[in-house]
Amino acid sequence: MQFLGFGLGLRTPHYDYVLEHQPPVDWFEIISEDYLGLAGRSRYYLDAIKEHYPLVMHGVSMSLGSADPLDKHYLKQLKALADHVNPPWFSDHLCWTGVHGKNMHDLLPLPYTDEAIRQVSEKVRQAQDYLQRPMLLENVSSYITYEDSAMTEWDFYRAVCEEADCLMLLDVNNIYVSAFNHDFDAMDYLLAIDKKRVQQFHIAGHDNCGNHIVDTHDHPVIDPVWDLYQAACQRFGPVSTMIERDANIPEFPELFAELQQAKKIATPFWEEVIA
Amino acid sequence: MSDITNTQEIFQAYLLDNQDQRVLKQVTQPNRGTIEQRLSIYAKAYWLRLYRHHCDFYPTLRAVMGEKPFELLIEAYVNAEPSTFPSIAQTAYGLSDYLRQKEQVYLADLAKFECMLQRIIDEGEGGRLEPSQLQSIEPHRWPFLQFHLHPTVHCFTSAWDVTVPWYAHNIEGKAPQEPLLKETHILLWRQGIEPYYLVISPAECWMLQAFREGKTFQEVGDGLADFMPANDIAPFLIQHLQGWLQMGTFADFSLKPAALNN
Repeated sequence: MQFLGFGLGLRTPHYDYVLEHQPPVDWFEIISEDYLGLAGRSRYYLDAIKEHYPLVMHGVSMSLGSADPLDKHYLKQLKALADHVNPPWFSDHLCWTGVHGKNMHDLLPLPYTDEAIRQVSEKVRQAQDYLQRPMLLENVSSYITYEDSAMTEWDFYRAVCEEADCLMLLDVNNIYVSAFNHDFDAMDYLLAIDKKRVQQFHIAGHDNCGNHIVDTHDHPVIDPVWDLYQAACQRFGPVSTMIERDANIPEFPELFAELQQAKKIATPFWEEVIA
Repeated sequence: MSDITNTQEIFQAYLLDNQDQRVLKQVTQPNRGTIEQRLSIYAKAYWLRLYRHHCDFYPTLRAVMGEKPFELLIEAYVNAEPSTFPSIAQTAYGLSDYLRQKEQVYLADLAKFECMLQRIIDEGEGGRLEPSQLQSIEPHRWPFLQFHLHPTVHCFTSAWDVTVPWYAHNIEGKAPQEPLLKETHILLWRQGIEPYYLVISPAECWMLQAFREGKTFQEVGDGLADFMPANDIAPFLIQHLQGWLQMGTFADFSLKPAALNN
């Protein structure tokens, strides 16, 4: 599997900085939905940054877990974008975002059932076949669990990826958030994941509200998440890693410094691939 | 109906209308806090994400209306027209039509203007017609030329001069006033990656719309007789064509099929 190194989410406030300074980031992840029109300012920056960095595509609206079928128009736009960007992989979430044609613009949790495994895995296969590229499926943070759930989140995640034969985008912060919210041990989650399927890590900050944690991506990564990342680095070996920041976005150098922290943590375990 | 369909219908109904409490029976009691608290994270996120996007998308409309009326407007709009779009950016596009349905006409025009300025930043792509491409056109074919507007070029007529509050808020940094009742024709386009607008005359607006409809150079010239004396038409046409070519207003040109045999 391809190891891209250490990347960041490409966000609008950083466009000019990235082009002007060309910071030594190994790769960027784009939010697919921000570029679907392939036109104007977003395309200008996409093309300019693509000249200097590998890009991967991360989507938020495929709604793989929805009772609705996949949106063909959306898939067509996504494929056009993928053909333009030529990413080594694309990703989306193990969730649903709406039903009956509506979009709640949130990563909503699924019941962990056999029915959901069949439904999501079938759609992942369809998406991979259509886009003709490997798809990564990401675990989401959640705040509720359903009465209908018949297994743990990690058993569900693992079963979907096996059934779909897809790779995993393991969000370490999401594991931490859900472990806190649902009182499980995050290490149980990590240890249950098949090493061969993990292709990318996400790390991010969150908002601890006391009784629960909300996955806000608006803070720096906290120490317990770094600790979990360290355990993940040790368990899974070299995995392309990126930091997500979607709100309260700091100046680029601050995020870059945070990325160096990830590299510092991973280096002792991945010396063979980190120069 | 499958279990998942049922679960998702109920969950979505709660997000769209917090009074719908059927979802409470689908969810397990957390060890800390209550089911209601946990569910409200999703409900708040749904509303805040959409509201913040509309604040960013319509800064002038928000400033003209004031904070609370704008919030109530967005709440009513989001409730009336839940998103069916993959991108949250698209959820804001229907606000002008919604305001028009509510007979809030000047607010509808201001929203339309602000929306068009935002949309042309990331919409419409393609080559521009260069003046040099017209040099080889034989004079007798000119009357049959059709000029095709670039996809980023739009004309818009408002009963109010909505550019005044926009300029005050976004350029001068002043508190915007309600727009004046004054029919205003506006040309919007993108040059490079920047959006622009220009208040234009009724004749200019008519010309551009005529080109969009596929009228030939000759037909556009004939139509301008409604706006000016016959002697003024040729200089007016040539001056504007040159100016618009420099601005990149046209994507390309064609000859009306009937003229190809001439």
